[in-house]
Amino acid sequence: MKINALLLLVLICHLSYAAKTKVVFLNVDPRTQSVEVVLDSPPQGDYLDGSKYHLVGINSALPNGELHWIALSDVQISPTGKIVVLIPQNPAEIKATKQLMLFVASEPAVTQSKYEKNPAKPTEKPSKANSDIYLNGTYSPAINGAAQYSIDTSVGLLFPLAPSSETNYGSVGFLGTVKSDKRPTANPDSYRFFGVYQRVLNKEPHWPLEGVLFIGLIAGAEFDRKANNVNFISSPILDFPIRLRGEIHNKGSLVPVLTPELGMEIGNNFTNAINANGQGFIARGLAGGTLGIDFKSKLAFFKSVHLASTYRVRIPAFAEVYTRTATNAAGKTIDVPGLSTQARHYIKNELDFGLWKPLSFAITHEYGTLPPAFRLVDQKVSIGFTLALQPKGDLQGQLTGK
Amino acid sequence: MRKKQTNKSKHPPAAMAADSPSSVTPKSSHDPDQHVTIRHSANAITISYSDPAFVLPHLLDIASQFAGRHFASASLTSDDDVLGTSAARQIVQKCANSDCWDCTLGDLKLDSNTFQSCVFQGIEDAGYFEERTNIPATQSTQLYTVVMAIQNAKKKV
Repeated sequence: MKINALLLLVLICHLSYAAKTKVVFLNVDPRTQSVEVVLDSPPQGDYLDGSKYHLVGINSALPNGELHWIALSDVQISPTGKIVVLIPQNPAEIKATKQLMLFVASEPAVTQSKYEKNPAKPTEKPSKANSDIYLNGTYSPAINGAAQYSIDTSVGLLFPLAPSSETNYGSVGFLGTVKSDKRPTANPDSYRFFGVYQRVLNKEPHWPLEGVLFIGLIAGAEFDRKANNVNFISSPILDFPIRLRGEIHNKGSLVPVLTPELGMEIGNNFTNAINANGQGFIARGLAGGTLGIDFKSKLAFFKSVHLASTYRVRIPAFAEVYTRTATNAAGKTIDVPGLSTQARHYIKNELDFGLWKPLSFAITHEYGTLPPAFRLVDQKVSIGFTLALQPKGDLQGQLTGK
Repeated sequence: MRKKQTNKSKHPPAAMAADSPSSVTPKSSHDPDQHVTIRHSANAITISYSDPAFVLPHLLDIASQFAGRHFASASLTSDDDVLGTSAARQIVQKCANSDCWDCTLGDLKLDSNTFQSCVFQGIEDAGYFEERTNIPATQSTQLYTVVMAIQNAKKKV
């Protein structure tokens, strides 16, 4: 009985500690010189009592600065909000400080340097360019034939146009993708290279719709390993990222994101496996979407679990090549091309177990066809490793997923 | 237990009062509850204590006496030439649909490009300007750091 009571006491103490309010930021309003105390949750206990807030200014960003109590004329606390505003009696005192030290009742002091416009060591240096690198190497176990190895690589890079301008002109860059085929060796099979223009079309979000993103894949080339399928393509696409969750108040919320896409691909087919002179003008409608969900991992070694499902259908307006594969009498995989206007579906499900950012262990399922050869990938399940890098900024697969 | 003894709520009012030039700390002081003794001489201050935890409030008081004359005492008027924290916070909160200030864009599953454009437009609509590339929007950017980065946006001329 005593042990149970003791355990209960320990549990209560632990819960009260876990629920403790924490100061996450201390910031000075450059307009009014009032100090914003940002909490991780609505204030509780001493954090609801304005008389418990005490502020010290330090007049140097270096360790040898002089300390100075700052008298407060008011402390504005909203019981449901996460911001507490400290109004100084003399704003000039705040302006003269380089660092602030906050005491709330008997809690440990919180010190933070004032945010400077161009600090020598910025807390967050914005990126001038956005890049996105996706490298996926997989092994697919054999079911009725040789085991398959494949490597898919995508690289996207974007630079903002006139970043100093008062108008958002969007960004330009390029996208390159290389996909291996179903052969026993990982020889690159299809290549796609495009110039890219990207711009956000909406001025503000209309939740749950976060925005409308225009992606123009311009004057690109699609060709396969044997170069018997060569296309010139331009592709305007609209992405509609939808966050399937309302206003988020806490860390750790499960936030699924659905991104439907609509677009078209128009261009010219110069040559293909059936017609050496090509099909001429080609046009395809494009529709699909991606659903992504991140789960907090409770598994050892895996920091996170990410599930991404992509579906895309291309509907040719004119007959285009469609390549089935078969095994001949010698046991070799051979292409069996044909021409048709049939819809070309592609589904990819990827379950990533994060090892350490940006490397993850991936289980991938694929079915369908991709340009330019539209070679059928028939229910391929593979395991391997995915490296997803955003060395400069973040595109989150906006380009490499195309 | 140690934290309890260093409860700051007892000291700041006295410390703030000591800020004014007329309320200089006496040459010698002793706090019987916390066993701290401070002695001033011509070129030295001697602090004796029974526990280091008791000293901090006294150090701050002493530092305030010296620092007071080095801090600006002129009054300051509101600076309307910059966006300010309150407006910056509203813009960021609207663009993220969240008040989880220590959450990253990745936690909130925000598209970096769309979020950055939204914040840029929000600043523009408020009549201020900040370069798009000065608006942090990587997946590891915490929401409140965006507020701090744009609160100094200049008024458009």
